[in-house]
Amino acid sequence: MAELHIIGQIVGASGFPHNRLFCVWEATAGGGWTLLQGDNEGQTQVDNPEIDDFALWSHPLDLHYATRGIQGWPKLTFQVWNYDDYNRTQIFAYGVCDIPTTPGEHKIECVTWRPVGGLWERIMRFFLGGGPQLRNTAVVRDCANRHRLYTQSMGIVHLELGIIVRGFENFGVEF
Amino acid sequence: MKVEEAKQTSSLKVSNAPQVEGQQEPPVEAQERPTPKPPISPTAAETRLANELIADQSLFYVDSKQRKQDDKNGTYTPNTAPVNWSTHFESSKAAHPEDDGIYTGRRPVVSPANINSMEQRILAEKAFHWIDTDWKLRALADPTSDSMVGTRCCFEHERDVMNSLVADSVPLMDNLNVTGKLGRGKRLEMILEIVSIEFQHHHLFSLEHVYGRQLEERFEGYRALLEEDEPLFLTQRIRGLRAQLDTLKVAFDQVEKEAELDEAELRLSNCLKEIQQLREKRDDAFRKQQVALVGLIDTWAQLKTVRSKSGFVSTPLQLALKLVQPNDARDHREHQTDVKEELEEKEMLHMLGNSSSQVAFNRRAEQLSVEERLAKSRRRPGDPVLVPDLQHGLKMTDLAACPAAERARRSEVSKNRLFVKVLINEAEVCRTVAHSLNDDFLTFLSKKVSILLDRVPSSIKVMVYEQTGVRNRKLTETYIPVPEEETVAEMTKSSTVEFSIPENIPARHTAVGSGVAFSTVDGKSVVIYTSANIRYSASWSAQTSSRFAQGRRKENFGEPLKILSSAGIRNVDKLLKWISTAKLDPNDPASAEFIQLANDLRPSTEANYFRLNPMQQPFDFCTEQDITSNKRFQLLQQRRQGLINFAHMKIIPANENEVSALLLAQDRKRVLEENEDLRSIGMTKQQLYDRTLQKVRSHVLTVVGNSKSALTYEELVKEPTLTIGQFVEWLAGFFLSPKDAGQDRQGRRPIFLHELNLTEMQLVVQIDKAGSLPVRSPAVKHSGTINALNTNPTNNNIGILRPVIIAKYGAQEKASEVSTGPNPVWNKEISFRFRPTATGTSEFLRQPLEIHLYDEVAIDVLEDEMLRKTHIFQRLDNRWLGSVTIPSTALLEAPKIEGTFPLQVPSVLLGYKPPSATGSSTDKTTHLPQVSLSVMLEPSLSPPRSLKLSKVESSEDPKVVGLADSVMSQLKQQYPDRYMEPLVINTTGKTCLLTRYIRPLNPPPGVVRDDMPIKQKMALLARYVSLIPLVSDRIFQPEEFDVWLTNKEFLELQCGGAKEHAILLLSYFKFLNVTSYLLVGRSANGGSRFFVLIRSGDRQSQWTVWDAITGRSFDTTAQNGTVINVGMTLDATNVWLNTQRSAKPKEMQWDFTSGAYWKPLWTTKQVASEDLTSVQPESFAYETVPPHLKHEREILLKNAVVAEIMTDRSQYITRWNIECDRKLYGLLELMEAKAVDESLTDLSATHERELRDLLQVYEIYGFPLNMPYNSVQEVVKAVVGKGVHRIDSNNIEFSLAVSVAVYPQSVLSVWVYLVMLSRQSQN
Repeated sequence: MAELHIIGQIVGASGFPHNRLFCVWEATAGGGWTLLQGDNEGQTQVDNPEIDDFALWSHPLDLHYATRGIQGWPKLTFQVWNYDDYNRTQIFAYGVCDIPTTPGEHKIECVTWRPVGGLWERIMRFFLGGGPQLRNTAVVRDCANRHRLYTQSMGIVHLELGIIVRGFENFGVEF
Repeated sequence: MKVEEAKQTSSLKVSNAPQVEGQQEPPVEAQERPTPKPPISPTAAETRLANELIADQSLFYVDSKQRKQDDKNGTYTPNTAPVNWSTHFESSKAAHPEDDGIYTGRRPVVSPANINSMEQRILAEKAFHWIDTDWKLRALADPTSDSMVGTRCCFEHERDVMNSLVADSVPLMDNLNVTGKLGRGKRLEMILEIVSIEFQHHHLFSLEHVYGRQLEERFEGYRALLEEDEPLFLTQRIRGLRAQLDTLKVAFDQVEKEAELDEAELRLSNCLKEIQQLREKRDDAFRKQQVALVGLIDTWAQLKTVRSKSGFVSTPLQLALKLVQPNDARDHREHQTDVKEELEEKEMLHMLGNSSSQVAFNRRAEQLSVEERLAKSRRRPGDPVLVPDLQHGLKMTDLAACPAAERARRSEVSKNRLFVKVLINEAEVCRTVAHSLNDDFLTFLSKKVSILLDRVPSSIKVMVYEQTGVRNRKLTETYIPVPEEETVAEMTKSSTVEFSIPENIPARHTAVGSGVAFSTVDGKSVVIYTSANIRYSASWSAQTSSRFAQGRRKENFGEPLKILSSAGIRNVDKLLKWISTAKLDPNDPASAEFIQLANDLRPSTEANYFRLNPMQQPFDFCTEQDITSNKRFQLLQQRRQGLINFAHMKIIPANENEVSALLLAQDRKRVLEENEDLRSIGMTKQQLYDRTLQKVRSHVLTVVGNSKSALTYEELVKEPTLTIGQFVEWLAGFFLSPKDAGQDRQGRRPIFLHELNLTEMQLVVQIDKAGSLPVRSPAVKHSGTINALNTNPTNNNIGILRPVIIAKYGAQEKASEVSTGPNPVWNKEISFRFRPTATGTSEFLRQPLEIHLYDEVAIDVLEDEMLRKTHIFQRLDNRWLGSVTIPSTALLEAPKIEGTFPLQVPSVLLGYKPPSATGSSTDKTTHLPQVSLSVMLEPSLSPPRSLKLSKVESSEDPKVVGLADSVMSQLKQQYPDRYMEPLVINTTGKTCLLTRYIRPLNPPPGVVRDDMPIKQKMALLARYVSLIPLVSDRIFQPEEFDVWLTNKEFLELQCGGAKEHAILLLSYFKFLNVTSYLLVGRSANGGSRFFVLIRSGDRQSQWTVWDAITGRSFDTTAQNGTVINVGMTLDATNVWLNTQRSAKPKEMQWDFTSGAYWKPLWTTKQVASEDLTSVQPESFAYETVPPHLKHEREILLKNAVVAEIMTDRSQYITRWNIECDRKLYGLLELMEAKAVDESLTDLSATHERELRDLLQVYEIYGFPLNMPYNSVQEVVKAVVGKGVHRIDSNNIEFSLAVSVAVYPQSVLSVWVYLVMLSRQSQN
């Protein structure tokens, strides 16, 4: 059995149309993975950058997995939400990124997208906000049904992850 | 493709470059020619200088003719003629890889001119690698695909597809909680193809069409007959029966017995009869074929007549008749054998049947009849065979050659267009493009759609529309059967569905119309209605079908069993045994069910799990078991779950083998604890109580949700609210001089319970003063002289006191300075620093703060009188006078506890007397010893949030809960500091009304007698209740709630919190018919919130409050009553909430009927009194105490105290005065009876009188202590903690008596009398 330790933070997000953002994140792994410690989902605070367009969260990640195989390497999925002037929340983007498979420090930029919807929905969104959102967020990390979606690219979620692996060398996996 | 083009252009450039240079100088170089002379000639030096600095000053000009020529020479324009590659390649012929079966793909469409010019150019460059072996320009296959299904664009019902993933528009949410997820159902994909519509009759059919269809029909029928070939089948059967006949005949000949003869005869005749029947059948079949053939030819003849009559051809049908000559000889031979055999059979049958009648078999006549029949039914042997063949190759008459009527009909046919709508579950899914009708009335629609469905549809409807011009006419609607689950798209054949339209359309032009009569060739009148066949195919996609299959597989398990059990087989084991022994063929479909059943049932030991990915296993490092059994991982996960044993562990070893020892230790500890549970004797009452309620608490907390995650905003963010006053002050700060820094210091913000273990805490006790302390008794003086007091010149006064305060908190003990006199003043601040740990939090807060008051007595131990003038040699003894106990949980309620608290003093304090100076006053209460002090926690603790009881499941009527909620929420805002909560949590973890806890209960037998005055009864019962040990009922979690025990549970458990005491006392008072209520409020020392309020007199103002913990009472008008804040009162019928301005008892009105003072929670209309059934028991059967218990406990306690004192004084000799023990025991026995009797005031005098003899010899200091029995340790701790024995001398004797008063239900009142005797010096 090998162990994977992920220590890092969700630094923030940039390149979104509005900057008062928060992020709902979730770490998912395959069936062979056991979460030893840490929360595998969470929500950041709402950050409202005053000058730059970089919403900073610095949300700590601290996940410790034990695994019996390399299948189903953990992934992080993100939902970036906007918290607008009327205290409403609306989905801005979905994104997914893999936990790096090499030990060390990693800076990751996770690109995101959102479903677009039809013309009427676009008009609605332009004037009222809101817009289509995924019924099931599993689609974000699922490759089977993605071709059905019609999406629009949004901003970038920035991550800094430190990866520590342990015990993989006993099974012939070397880094 | 793009990449290759790019390469192409770049290579062209390179190869072009030298060519261009060779032909002509490029114009760029032309600029570098020598410059023409300038008009003004400067000096040579100037010119040289200018030339060096400036390259060219003149304008360069090339005339247009030259330029055109240059352009022409410099560029190459390929012509667009096709290239004859054959001359440029060695092979004479272009190779075509697709001919060799190599996939090449379709080339993208490029105009030939472009291709030609490109090829010309390549030819000019000799870049032959761009040319493939097929002598064409190299190109990749066209990337665009035109397949119908699978790409996004071909989804007919595209909106539906989008909807499956994306919501139309999600309304905006007003909160931040967005983690909710919506499930998505699995969809089924159905592939439906509408192939064609073929009309069997149409109103635009001409007569020729009618016959054409008939011809087709008949031809099909004939062909079907031929294919079936019934005669051949029958011939074979006859042949088989004849073989049987032969064996039967042989058997018949060999039969000897008479009986068997009959049977053989019967068998033979039956066989013969069967053969004859078959022969007749065969003849019929032959005849049927012939009739069909004749009909076919007949129709063909009629069709030809129609054509010749009308003079034009409008159907392409043509029947070709071929004559095939059969093998003449064989034909005859077969015929002969047939006849011969039949005759033979007939003869035999005749012989068998008519053996008795002896009529001769007429062979000749029979042969004739047989031959005649054969001739009728079959072609004659040697006759040619007619083979009809229907062809569609006939050329139809051109439109121009047709008569006008036919032309009109044909144009109408071509204008007629058809389209089809498909409706699934009556909702339109798709519609085809309109296709025009052909001359043969066959329309190919070729529409293939894939439809995503949530479930298997109930109906698929097809509606056929006819479009003439812009008008749509619905022809018909018909249903297509929903495809079977196993029909997969790739394997389905198209099927047809037929419909007919009962409509009447008159004949026009040359058409015959529909539903109207028209005459046929042979003059008959016929009516035909429009009818057609729709050819379609419906199937499921492969994925969907496999999903069905999965579903079936799951069902399969039960199915054979069901079949079997319906057939009556119940013993599955036997069945399995049979299956294994029967050796069923696994490939036989008949036994497949059993094999399946056996497979399903047998491997239940190994395949009782479902593996998501069966291929995972080869890649696994280890098994799941390895991870779950890893001790280190277990430890980590248990720590994460916050299990009590592991929650505090900060460091967990990195290796598993280091963990095991630790875990083992933990395990052992747990096992020990569990064992202790079993014999709960070893447990303290607190543990017992906690354990009882732990389950309820954890249940409630899990119901309400993890308290840690439910932090409020205020707990997370410190946000000081800025008042206007502060703002003005801040503004003024700009103009005024800066203030003293110390003045601006803000108090530290209160910390929350969940962050308690992060900070160091400080408990600050400020001791101001004490009053009315007992003073040293003059009796000591009278009976003898104490050296120290006598000889010390400074301490000559009698009644002197040197009080000192010692505060104890946990293990820490701190003392104040010594003051003097019975009313000392200290003004001393004592602080205890402590850092609560994660596990020790509750322990720290459960420890009470004890403040003991001692008298410091100086005893002269100077033995040499000579030195007295120069030396002082004294021993300082601390003698306990009294103490105050403040529960530190009180600090949760109020940040600071401040006030004057009555000192708990023993009823008798030998060696001391009450202060005599003010002894004249009759009012005793004002002159009880008391201490003024204040206690605060630094930083202060924010009070725990009370649990939102509305979140907890309630056993009450929701109406009542709602009523309570609405009333409470309003009042709580108005009076935030008053404790009002009518709902409580009972031991089942549900909320219920507090009023249900109030019910009269029979008092314990023997405690009160009927003839006692009511006041004495009440006092005795209060004492009984106060003797039940009190344990802390507070839990230290951010969300706090109490669990209420019923009286029964309380009495059985023999310990409880303040609330249980109050309820029990109230129940007894109710039993005595005293007007009594439960009073809920706050007390001065933060101890209890629940009191009993009784009406003590007739007047409105005469009310008394009982404190159930101490068993004492005080009037509501008393100055220093315990209750300082009244929130509500209640009894079994209602709850009254305090809406008065003041919450102090002495300022309050107690008229509960008045709405102005008290707000009832409900009116009698709202809640009927029948609904308020009590949760309390009606009566309680008290356990009688075994008689030996008293003696046992006395010995046990005495031994324990003696042992403790002996070990504590291990450096000194400890002597015990047995005579005194006996006297003290006698005194103690009297104490319990007098405990509640307030009339006996002068106990000390009695005691002194009793100990008179001893007082002659000894100086005696000591006191009796009374306490409820909690555990031996607690008693020892309480006795030893007073420090009577802590005297550093050998010349001391002690005396100890323990008396236990026993009440029903093992309630014990423990009396311990510890006395120190020091021998008076004889001089």
